Amino acid sequence: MDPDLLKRLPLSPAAFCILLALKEGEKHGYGILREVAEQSQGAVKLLPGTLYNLLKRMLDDGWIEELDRPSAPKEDERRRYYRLTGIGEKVVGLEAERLAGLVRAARRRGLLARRGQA
Amino acid sequence: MLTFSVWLYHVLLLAYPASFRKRFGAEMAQVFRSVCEAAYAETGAAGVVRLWPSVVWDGVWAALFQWWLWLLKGRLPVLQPNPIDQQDGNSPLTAWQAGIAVLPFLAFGASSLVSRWDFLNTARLPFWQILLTHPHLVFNWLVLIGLGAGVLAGFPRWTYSFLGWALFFVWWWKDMGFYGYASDWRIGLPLLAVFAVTLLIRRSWQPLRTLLAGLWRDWTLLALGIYILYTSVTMLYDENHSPFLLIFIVATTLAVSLGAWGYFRLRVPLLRVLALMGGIGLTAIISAINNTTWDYRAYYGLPESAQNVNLIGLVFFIVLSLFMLAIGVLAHWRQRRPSRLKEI
Repeated sequence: MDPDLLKRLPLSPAAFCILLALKEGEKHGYGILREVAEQSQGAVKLLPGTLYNLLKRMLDDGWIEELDRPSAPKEDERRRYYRLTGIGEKVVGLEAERLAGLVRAARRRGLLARRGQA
Repeated sequence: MLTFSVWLYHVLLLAYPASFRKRFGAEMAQVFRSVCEAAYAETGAAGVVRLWPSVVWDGVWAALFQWWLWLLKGRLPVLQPNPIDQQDGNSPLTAWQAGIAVLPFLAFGASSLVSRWDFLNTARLPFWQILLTHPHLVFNWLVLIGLGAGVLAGFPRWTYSFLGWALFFVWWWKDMGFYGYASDWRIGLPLLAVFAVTLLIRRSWQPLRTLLAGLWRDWTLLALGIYILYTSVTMLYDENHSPFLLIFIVATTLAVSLGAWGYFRLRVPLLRVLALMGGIGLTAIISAINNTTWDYRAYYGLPESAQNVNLIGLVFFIVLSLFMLAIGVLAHWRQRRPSRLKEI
């Protein structure tokens, strides 16, 4: 595992959710925002300030990249699309593994129902 | 409602640094419009209104964070350590950096000037107002802000000027009476707090290491310390009631600042110390003019024998000059020594 990437963990819930949303495919800002709200069941509610702070940082770190493609017809020209880079995929994977480890620990302590149980 | 909200959001976007706004502003406004439209579709105008407190909170924090990054990433190059200086700790500062280093000298002169205006000298103010209005205390707060900025920037060499003045102030005010109050050792707490907070923010001991390494590499900083101590007295004009006092304070402040500016601009250690001595020489000339145009003995009703004070002052001046010169020669010899070894 890349030690430099490990140093960046744990991610904030918002950052993790953004990367997770982009794992499904390229999205524009509002698309990310909706996907994050949906996948977190409303627990993580992003607004433009926090969203673009995180997007800027991820762009600077090379975790995501802006898609170089013309806007589709009828689509707002201001919309820009973002997608995960190879580094971004590694980061979100490492964070998912870290969280899975925590979930396993919680399950061992009886805090969660075991797989297959109600 | 939506149009007004989006217009208001554009106003909020002005709080961001221009570079960030230029790159993401249009997108953010577009996303905000979409969020508003969704809220409006769900709960009408009330939904949009309820959205606003969290939007403002989110916007202000995000803008502050971007400004913080803007500062840290060296968008103010004048505040950053000179890369060459970081290598040898002796390189001359740029004109702008030297200008920053001179600011505490100018600020002290200004505080000395303002403190002579009687309307500020009142004991009727509550303590907290005195803390914010006493000229010398305001000077100290400004110096501490500069020192904090310097520590955050990694302790570039101009920060020594602020550190020197901050230490001087603690020494000067450790038992000072002011406007019916008295200060004690706690006057040093803000200085410690500045170091504690800035080092916590940076999460690194690097500024302290740079501070100590710089002191060892550049012995002329000792001369700068002496210069601050000496010139502070000359800029104060304590117990002086010359009718042209304000002009003398301004002239002395400019002379002292000129010496300090030369110190930070010159490369050769000996020349640096000579610049400081030049500043002291100029203040001595101004002081002599002050003495000839205002008879302090007559003002205070002192006997003629009080003239002996001048002799003591002259001896002190000579000893101080020789000591500073010795520092300059030693620092000069030390800087040249490695090159001699290389030649051998």
